[in-house]
Amino acid sequence: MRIKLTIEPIAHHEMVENCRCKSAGAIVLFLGTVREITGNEQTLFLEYEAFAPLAEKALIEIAEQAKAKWAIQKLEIIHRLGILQPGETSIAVCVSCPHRADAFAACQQIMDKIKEVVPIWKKETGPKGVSNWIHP
Amino acid sequence: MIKISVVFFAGARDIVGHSKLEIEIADLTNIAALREILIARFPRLEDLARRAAFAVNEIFVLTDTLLIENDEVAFLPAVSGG
Repeated sequence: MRIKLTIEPIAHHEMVENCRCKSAGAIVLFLGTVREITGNEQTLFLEYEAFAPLAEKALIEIAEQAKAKWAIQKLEIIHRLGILQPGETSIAVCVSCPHRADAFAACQQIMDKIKEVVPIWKKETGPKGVSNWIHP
Repeated sequence: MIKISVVFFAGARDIVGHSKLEIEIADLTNIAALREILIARFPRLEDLARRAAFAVNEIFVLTDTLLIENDEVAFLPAVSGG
């Protein structure tokens, strides 16, 4: 299992290979990417920040809960921090399981929980240079 | 009185103007009461404060948690990672 916050671009191909194993019949990779247009608003770039020590702990807890629920063989979660351009990957979750239903379900639950509880925030900057922290 | 610190992130930090504040509070103050103290001092923080989560010394806590000397409280506005 690998859980990481990083300011470097996320090497998702490497995550897939790390999750490949003989006991798994399915590998699911989810990538969250920076969307340029939301409704009528254009995003020039996003900036992510984290309360890193607690974010890492929260990610580990989410991963452990998923491992207790599904037959996860390998699991990697990497969240990017800092400034990201449209199209770049902000988060990658990669999970391998014996069967695809578990792999899809685990990946979905992990992402849902990350969006709900992990102390990471993004700031959107639009074309006029106006920035807003997003607190849904 | 006891001395604690509060760390702020994202939009909350922009409103407060600092990433960390050292403050003195009465003994037996809990997180809910601290939230009211912060709202009184920074009225624009209210919307975020009502929906915020809190951690003490890097552990998530409920709002009835009592604070003690040298605690570091993290004010965690609604998250938007992913």
